[in-house]
Amino acid sequence: MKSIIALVLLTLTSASLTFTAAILYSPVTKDFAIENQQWNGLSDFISLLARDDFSVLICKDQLLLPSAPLSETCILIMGPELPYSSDEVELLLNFIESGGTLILLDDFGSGNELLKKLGIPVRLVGKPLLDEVVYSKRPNFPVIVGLTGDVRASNVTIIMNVPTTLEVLNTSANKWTVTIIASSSEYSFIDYNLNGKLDGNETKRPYPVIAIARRGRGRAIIVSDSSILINCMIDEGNNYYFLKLLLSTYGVKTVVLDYSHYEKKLAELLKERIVSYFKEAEVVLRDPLFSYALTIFIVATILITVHSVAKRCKREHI
Amino acid sequence: MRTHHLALLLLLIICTVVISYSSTDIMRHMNYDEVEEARVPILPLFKLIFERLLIDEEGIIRNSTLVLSLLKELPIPTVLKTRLDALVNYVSLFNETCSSIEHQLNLMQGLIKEGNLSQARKLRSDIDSLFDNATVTLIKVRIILNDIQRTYPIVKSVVEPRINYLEERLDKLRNRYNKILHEIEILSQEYQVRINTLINATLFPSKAYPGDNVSVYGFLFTENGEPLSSRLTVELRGFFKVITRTNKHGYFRLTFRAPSIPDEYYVIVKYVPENLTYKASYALMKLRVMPFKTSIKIVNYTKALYPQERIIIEGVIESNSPKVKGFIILTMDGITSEVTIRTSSFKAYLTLPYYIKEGLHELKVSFIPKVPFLEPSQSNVTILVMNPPHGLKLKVTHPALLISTNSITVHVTPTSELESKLMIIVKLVTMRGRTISSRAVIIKANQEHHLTLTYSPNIISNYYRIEVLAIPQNPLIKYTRYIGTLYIINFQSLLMTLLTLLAIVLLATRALATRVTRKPPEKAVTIRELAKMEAMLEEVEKLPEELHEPRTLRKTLNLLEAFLARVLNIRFSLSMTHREFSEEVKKKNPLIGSLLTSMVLIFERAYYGLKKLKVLEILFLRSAYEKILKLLKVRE
Repeated sequence: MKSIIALVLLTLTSASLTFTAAILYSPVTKDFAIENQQWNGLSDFISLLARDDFSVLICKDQLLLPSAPLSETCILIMGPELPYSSDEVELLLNFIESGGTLILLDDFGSGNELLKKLGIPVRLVGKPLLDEVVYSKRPNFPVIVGLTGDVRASNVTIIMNVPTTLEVLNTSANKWTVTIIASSSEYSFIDYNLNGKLDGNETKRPYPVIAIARRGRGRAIIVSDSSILINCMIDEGNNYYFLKLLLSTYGVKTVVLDYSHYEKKLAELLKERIVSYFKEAEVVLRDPLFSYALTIFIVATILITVHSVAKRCKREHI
Repeated sequence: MRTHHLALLLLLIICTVVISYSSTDIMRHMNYDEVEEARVPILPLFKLIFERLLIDEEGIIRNSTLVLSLLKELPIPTVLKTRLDALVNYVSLFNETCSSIEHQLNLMQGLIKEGNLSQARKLRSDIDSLFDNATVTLIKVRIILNDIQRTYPIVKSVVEPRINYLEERLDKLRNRYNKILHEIEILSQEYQVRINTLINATLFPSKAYPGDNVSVYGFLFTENGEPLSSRLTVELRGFFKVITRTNKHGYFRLTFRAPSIPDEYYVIVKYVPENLTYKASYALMKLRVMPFKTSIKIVNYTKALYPQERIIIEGVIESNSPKVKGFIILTMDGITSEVTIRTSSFKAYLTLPYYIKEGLHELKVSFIPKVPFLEPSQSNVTILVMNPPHGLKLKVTHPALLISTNSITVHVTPTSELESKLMIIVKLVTMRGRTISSRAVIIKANQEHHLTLTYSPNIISNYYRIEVLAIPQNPLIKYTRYIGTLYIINFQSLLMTLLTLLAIVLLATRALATRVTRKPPEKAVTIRELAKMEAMLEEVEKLPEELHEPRTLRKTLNLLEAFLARVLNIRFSLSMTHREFSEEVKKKNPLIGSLLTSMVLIFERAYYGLKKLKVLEILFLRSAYEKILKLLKVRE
């Protein structure tokens, strides 16, 4: 009976340990995850930033600002899924007005809601932009050639991955000044009915894809594609160079990557819960009261074991 | 059923034979583009478009309209047609941009010839922008071409050299542009050969108050000292720019009013020659507009007061300016207050904090102007802060030991001679001074109050400080403070500690219990105590018949030893081996002892040496056992 109980306990313990280890060490496959080394992750991007001596701050639970000067800081938001609270919007507005740089890369996410809350007169159209001629491999991978404005560079090519376009709203008395710095080619069109073809109501013309909205001493840069920096796109064209050019133009030294606005899967929630339990356990372990008790326990166990073994050896000695 | 199956089989055979006879050779797979390519001779078409019609060896585009119309008519794949159409359009756009660059460069050279270098320089931004556009267009041409070459690699040899001509054309234009820029630089240096001119100008006064009249006067000479009669531009940067003339002696004079905002200004007198004989010259003078001086005259103020009372200061700002606007800032021991004033007289207040020490304090009164033409000023007064006449006693009780799941309840009883409301601030602070939790309430004096302070349950077990601060609202009562300590135990740690201690106790108890059970009897039982021996004897008599089993043998030996220990009054301990016990038995009864030793030897060989017992050995063991029992005279 005892052996059965022991077996059941052993099985349960090993199963729990295996489950915990599987949760903790299972590969991350979520879009824009920094630990994700698959095609849709940001592991390469983070490595490149580190290589180029940018200090990177990743906000996993809450959007926070570093202690570095705001004029040398950039907040990078890629394809957000969850809306931003009014406090976060206020934080972002203060950040921009104090000279910070916000880069929002989004196509079909909740970026529009953020733009609306920030009062920026730019919207993401939310329909795919296709290019019949100036593309890389497929028409929904349009190539953007040349940048104007502050980041003037004629020989830069950005390869996008199913982007949308930007729409600049005509609003008077707005605190933001918007400048378009990159547009698609003359052969691009918005595929409103998603059939992948140019139809009668769809017009071929250059559409804005990157815009800078200035306010106070800072700026918000809006890019109509969230995927130009993912692992499979970062080496295409001059995608990383484009971001580096933006950062160097505005003297950015610290990049804050906002990872707190994505929906979390069950596995991620479990992982977070396990990590929080580990942290709580760490608090208990660090508590002096428990440390003393643990030390006494270890010493007592060792003494009792040594004593028992010695006795047994003596008893059984031939 | 069988007939049906047979008919089906026959039909299947017939079908197979018919299909095998009618089958033809399988064609090689061709996609749509290849089929179209097979119909249209792609290479000659590209040769015709790019070599004969579109791009010449100078990189100049011709017949683009003709090529576009030709493409419309040609039966080539739609995808190729779209790309070629775009390619021709981009190439035409490139051509137009290059032509614009050429036009701008020609314009630039014309301006240089006229000696208008500044205008020539102004064209730079336009030309740079055109170069950017041409580069972007060329990159787009390359992207389309690479895409076409992926499908039709054969066309590379035809199109590539022609696109290179375009690049060469752009490079040539860029070289020409660089040469022109270089030429401008050289001409700028040559400009210095002309006759130098000199403006000798004076500004009076060079330091003025806002609105004062300021004159600028002087002479214009050549480097040989000859006076020049010409036009001069006098400019006060950001305010005005006027043209004046020098007389035949080269003299000029201009009077203007000093700006209303105090600052440092620059007055520039500039001579721009009307012909190519003289060089331009200018004179730069600094004008300093000073703000009106101000001073604070204090008319009345509170000279003595208790902490928490308000200082009132009345005064006047003295200045030459008719308009006084700004702030009065009162500062005393790091406490400040601010009041806005619109006229020269003011009344300002500063409430003293409860903690200010009694004695003389210096109060700083500062005037910070809101208008730029006034200067800030400052004045000091001495204030006496008196000790409040009434004291406050604070009785505080709180637990000395607490588990982190419970909040801290503090009982506060402030007692005072005067009735007053009090603000009570309760703080939980680490021994290093970091505040963990705090709470503020307003209560009445001479009454007991219970205040509950919550904090995070994840707090680390340690000593903490409880600080209670009572600030009376009546300034006649002095504030008081209480500082106490308490030990907070983290609940989780406590639980884990208790579990750990329980484990220690269990382990220790087990170890001790084993020792107690194996403890030898304090008194040995004599042979005459037969009644007590009865039970044991019964067990001994039930010896197993099969002694060849080592376990049975061990049990037998152990039982026998226990029995002998009782009967022969031998002290039996756990540390004693079988041999040692045999020796002890030998001392009491040598015969039984030697029999037991022989039994032990056989046991050791079988139990530890893993030897199988022989029949003789088993017989010996039985007989030895019987003998020992007989010798003890226990058994008949």
